[in-house]
Amino acid sequence: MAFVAGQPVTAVVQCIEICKLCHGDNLILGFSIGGGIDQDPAQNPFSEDKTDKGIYVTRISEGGPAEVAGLQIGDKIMQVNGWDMTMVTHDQARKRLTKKNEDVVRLLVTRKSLQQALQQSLQ
Amino acid sequence: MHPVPVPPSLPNVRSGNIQVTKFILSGIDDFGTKRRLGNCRVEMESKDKVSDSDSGVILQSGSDSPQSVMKGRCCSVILRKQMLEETLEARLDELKKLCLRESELVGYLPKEYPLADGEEPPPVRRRIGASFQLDELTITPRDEDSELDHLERVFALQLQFVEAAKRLSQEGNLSRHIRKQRKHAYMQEQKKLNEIKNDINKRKAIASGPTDQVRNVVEELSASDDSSLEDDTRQHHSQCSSTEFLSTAHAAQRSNSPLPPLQSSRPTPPQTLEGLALVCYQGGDCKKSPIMDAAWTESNLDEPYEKIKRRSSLNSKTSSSTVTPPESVQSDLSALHHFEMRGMPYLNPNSASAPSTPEMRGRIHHQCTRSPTVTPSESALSDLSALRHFEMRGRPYLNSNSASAPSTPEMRGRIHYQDASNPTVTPSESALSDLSALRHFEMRGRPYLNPNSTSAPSTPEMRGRIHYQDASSPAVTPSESVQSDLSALQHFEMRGRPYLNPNSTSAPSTPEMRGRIHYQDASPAVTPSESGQSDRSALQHFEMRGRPYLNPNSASAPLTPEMRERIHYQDARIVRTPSLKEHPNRTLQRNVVSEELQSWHERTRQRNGRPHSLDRQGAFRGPRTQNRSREQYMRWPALPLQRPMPHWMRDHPQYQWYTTEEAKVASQF
Repeated sequence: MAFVAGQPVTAVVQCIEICKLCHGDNLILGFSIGGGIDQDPAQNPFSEDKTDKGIYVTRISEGGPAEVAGLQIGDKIMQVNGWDMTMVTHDQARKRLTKKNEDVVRLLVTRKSLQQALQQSLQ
Repeated sequence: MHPVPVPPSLPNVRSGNIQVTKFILSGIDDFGTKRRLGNCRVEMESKDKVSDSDSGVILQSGSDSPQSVMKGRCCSVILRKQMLEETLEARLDELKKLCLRESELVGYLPKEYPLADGEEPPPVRRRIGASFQLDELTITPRDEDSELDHLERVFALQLQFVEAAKRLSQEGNLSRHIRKQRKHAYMQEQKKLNEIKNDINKRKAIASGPTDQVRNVVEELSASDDSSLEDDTRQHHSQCSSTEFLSTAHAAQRSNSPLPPLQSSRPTPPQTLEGLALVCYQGGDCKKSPIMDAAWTESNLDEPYEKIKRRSSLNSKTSSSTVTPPESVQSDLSALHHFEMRGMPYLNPNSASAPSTPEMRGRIHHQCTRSPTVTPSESALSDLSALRHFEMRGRPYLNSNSASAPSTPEMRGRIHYQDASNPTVTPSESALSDLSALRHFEMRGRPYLNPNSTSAPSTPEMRGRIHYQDASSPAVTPSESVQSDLSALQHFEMRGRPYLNPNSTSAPSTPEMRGRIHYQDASPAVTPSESGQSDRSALQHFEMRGRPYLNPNSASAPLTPEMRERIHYQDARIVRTPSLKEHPNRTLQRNVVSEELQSWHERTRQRNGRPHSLDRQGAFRGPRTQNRSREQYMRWPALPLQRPMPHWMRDHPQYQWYTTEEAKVASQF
């Protein structure tokens, strides 16, 4: 799912709307992310292309808002509320996802199975 | 008579000479083993031997050939044989080295490696970064080796050269000269590449239709580096798209043959050069991205973003301060960075505070305080930059019995300060802010404080301070401001082990402090005289090394002469005198010694009517009158302090002093 720098990226994405849960003082999302342009992409266990420096979902907490919304582990996050996540640092990604004034985050995520499903449906 | 084993097929380039040489030598060897050098005997030249050899040197043995001629020919032949043997050795060595180098590059040992009998092939060590992927189709020569094919092969190779040269030129830590060289080499390689590319394109233009791949490939390569080809970014885009297109559609075509292998070889480690330039955009990735690659971490989004940030920033600071309010005040604690307390601050159970540096003490106090009244003074301490990154090594050991038992010496002192809970102390704190005396204070060794001391600061300064706090006399306050100019305490160094005796209540460890404490204990009447103490030049550079040993029953003994007059022992104090036993090799300065003596004098003079068990107290019973104080005071500078150091060190210094004083006193009165 890697892309060519400078070229438009096309991917089959799914829009996932996560309603943050108010947990005490924090708004929790119920998943963890990994990756970023400042991270070593070779250690990403979820990416197909080991040079992909995108943000990937690494863990989903049981019953959390993310799981309820349909996020799956290994998903690559392309956008968050319209903000691009394909070329961000790890910290920037966290920032965009954990904004306190936002109750709902709309993610555009992609995964391999989506691409395959699309191909199968077209055939 | 076995023939010398000759390698079956030596590459033409390398071993043409060797092959020939081997043939020659095989014959000569047979010839030579049977003979002795210089001992050519025609008789030994049996026909069968000669005829067996396949060498070009055949001696026609004829019985009627003149021996001398034969001998001459023998010798020349043998000489030639020797020369050839040497040459062969040299060539074999070269071959070995080349084979090893090749094995490094290729990954296996080439079959041309000359192996002697029984010798096993050497292990192959592949050099990292030396692997270059070349398309097999391109580089393997076909039956019809057309010029275009040849050119393409050369082009592929040249591409690799360029990439290697580029990487070399980008290597860091190069001297200017080498960097220039490499850059130049890179330019050269690129020029060659361009020439080849032009050639190919010309031929292709002649031969077939438009093929932009090669051109774009090359330009893509160079565009990533050189500024001269900036306009090729367009072509780069088109090239990339055309690449993808071509890879799928024209896989079979020879001109596009470089593409498919590159597509598959994309996910390779950055070190390996990925074939031709079509993966050049990944070749760009081969360069380190400007953002340092960290380990791939996973972060939990359930934790708020700010906390993470704060944690990381907190980790970078020391965790010495746990109080938030003082934090803001300590904002510029720059000097506290890299503070190190060496040695082992070993604090006896009841020791109050054993800070290693004056600043630290002040700081910790600053941090420890919870009292709002301290705040104004803390602002004064704000530039105690020394407290940041305070490291306390060793073992601060605190006894359980200590009332206020902070873990750090500084804390103890400060806490004690807080325990005083005397609002009147606050204004004095501001005076303490200018603890210039505490600066550069180094306490090494083990400040050992005795358990029973109630207010038991381990450092002299602190003790003084604490004592000051214990005084709880408002009248003391103004005097404190005078103490601010503790220039005397500057550069105070106390090494060794300040040992405080158990029974001392307030146990100052240094003479100065003792004086201070005493000063504080004094009645308000002492106050005006205190201002005179401000100029403690005498205490400057006071160094107390060794073990300041404090007598249990001795009261606090100020050292300064000025103090002596005001000494008014109210409570039993622990008096600590520097003991030189610990560090026999240290030398005391004359002023130091004199101060010590003076303090002792003061101390003993103040012990009127106090039961002291110390033997040497008796020595002072005589002159223990107030009116003598001044005389003694004046007499002190005249005390001979030139006793040799070993003399000092051997015996207990107190006793020494006492003896001296006793003698002096006896003589005077």
